[in-house]
Amino acid sequence: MSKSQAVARLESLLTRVRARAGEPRAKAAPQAPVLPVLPAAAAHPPVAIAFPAVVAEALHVPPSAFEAAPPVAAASSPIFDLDDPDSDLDSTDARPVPFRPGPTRTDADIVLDVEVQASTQETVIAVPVEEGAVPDALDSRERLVAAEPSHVPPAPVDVPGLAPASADVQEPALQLEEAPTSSRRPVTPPPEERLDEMAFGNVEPKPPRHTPPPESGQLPAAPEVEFEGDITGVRSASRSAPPSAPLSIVPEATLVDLQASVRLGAVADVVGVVAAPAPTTFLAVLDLSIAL
Amino acid sequence: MGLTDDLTRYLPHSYKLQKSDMAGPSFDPTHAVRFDLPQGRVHAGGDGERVLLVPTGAIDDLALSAPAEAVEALGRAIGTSIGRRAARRLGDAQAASVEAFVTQLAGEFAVSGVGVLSVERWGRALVVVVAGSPLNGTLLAPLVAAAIEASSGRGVACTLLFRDEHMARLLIGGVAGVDRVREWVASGVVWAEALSRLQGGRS
Repeated sequence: MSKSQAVARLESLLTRVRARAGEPRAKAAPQAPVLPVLPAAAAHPPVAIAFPAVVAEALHVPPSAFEAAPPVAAASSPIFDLDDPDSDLDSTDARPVPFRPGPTRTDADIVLDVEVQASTQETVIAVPVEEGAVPDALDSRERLVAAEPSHVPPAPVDVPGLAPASADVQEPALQLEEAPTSSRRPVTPPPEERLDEMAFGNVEPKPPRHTPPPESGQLPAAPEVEFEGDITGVRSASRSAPPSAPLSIVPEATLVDLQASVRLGAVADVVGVVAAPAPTTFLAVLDLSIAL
Repeated sequence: MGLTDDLTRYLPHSYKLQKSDMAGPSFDPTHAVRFDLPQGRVHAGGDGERVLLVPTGAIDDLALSAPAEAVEALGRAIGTSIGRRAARRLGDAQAASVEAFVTQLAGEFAVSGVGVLSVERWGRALVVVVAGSPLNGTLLAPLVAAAIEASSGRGVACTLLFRDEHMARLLIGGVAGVDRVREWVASGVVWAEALSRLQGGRS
């Protein structure tokens, strides 16, 4: 959406609002809107309507007029987006009001948010809008949601009979601790320093540069990889069910049948004949001779 | 082919056995011969067997003139007498060593005047060598055989292998073996070759 289109839409919207403001209020409550009792944590933060200076000039409204606007509780999520091409401002009357759970949805709630493109480099005027500053627009169901008001601290709601619950409540200050060096990755020094070191040699050592520590938050889940136990060698042992009986180990012996595989006659080669012991007696010698 | 075959083939005449001195056992000639001069008797040995001193010339004449059986009987008679006396000296001839047996037998041979007895082993063959004997071969072979039979109690056969003027070499063995060697020697085979054949060599 171009800037001129946005201005044109805003002008038409302003015209419509003025026209409706001049009409008699048939649906408006006769009494002043009563804010529901809300817990401090659920109180709506004041919404800052950011109008660019171009818008202020187009509306012919001095910027001081926006400063008097009371803060209005804003919805946490956008309801109507001007940038949405499907959203037609002309059909906002026929568009049903979306249901908002909880007591935050009242007729007195008007959220007027204007989204400003981030690419817009123009000056932005932050105007706190108070709830009672736009009494004529209380019956309007139209919402212009453009900016995220979540960063705006909640405004204290002055309810008679209720103690300011959020007076002493402060958000804990973020204590940024320096990340350990191990979580940083070293960065190569700039080429100038390297050239100096190469040219002049001795250069005062500087602390090693590291990349900024990783931002805290949820890390992306690691891809699920199924490891096979046979490959990694990791086994999951069940602690709850110990083995009932001790494991019995039976040795498996491998025996060799040497008699079947070895031919005993070929093991040794006998050369010659073992000499018989010499006879010690004369009769033994005589017997050998007789036996010839 | 063993050492005996080699010696038999190439050194049949010049081969000399190294004789060992039998220092262990000894022969005691004390009172081996007793001369009873009053009675005119000569006794030999412990049992007092009466002997006769005969000139060797008479024995040679008898051996040359008498039949072979008579000569053999004479020789066996003389040998048996010598063998008995040696056996008496040995006591247990079954357990006597070669040296002990030969010592006592050689002692009795010497006392009888038959010569110097020694033994040789040619392989398994037992050879008796008698040196300086006055007896001829035909008488000496039955004498040696009878002496060994009487001293050992085994029946043996004996044949003359070699005889010269100094010594006689006789084979002691079984009847069959001795007869084969006798035939080989009679056919002109050298006695050493005959002994080699007897051991299972060339026949």
